[in-house]
Amino acid sequence: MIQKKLDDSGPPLDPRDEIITHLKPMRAFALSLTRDMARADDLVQDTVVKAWTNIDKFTVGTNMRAWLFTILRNTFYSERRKAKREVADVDGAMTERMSVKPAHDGHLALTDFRRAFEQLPAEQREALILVGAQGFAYEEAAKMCDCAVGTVKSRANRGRKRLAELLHMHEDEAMELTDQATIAVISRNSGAM
Amino acid sequence: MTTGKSDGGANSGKTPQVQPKRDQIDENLRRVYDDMLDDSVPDRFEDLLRQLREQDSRK
Repeated sequence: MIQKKLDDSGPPLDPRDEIITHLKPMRAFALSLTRDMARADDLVQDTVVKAWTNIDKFTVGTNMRAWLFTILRNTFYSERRKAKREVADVDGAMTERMSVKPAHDGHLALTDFRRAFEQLPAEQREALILVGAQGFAYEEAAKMCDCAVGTVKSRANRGRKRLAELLHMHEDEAMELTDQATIAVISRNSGAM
Repeated sequence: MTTGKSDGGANSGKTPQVQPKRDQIDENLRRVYDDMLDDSVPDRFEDLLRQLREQDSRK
């Protein structure tokens, strides 16, 4: 039997109706793992089907996004193990030669950030999306990834460090990742960077 | 929209110059796939949800 939220203003709400509200973040998370749009949407599709058919395992009132993301990342890693198709994640030695030059002095396009981000290993990309983009606490992310809190922290820290290196960020510079219009305004107004 | 946000001390104890860079990276992590994803739901997922609902109603 499906647990339903009781809303005193109407009939019981079906938690499955909430799935669609998480779709765009799910697609973004899937993209961060697969780095491929078609595979990402296939992964989201598999996740939605699993979530739908296993909705009785979801406790109404708890964080559905965490639950969906957990299904998604588990599906990703198990499909990857089966397929053994994942492109080998480049290690530090290789990425040294693949650093990303900013498109403009001091200013980067979103695509440059994405290219740098996609050079990180999957586990680091995952940690950064969960903690950095989605704002899950380390403890929550650790549960979702079935690992120690320290492991999530070190993955996120290594990922950030590597990103900063790849994007040529320096401690004392405030680098803006921004669009053309903002670059123009900043150049006109401050002359800095 | 619930995102499970609670700091849990994740950003405490960091030197001042680390935090702005971290916030900047986080902002870009939130936006990294924005230009590739519409806010609207692609047909394949509308269709999927409709199929799932129909399967259920036939049980």
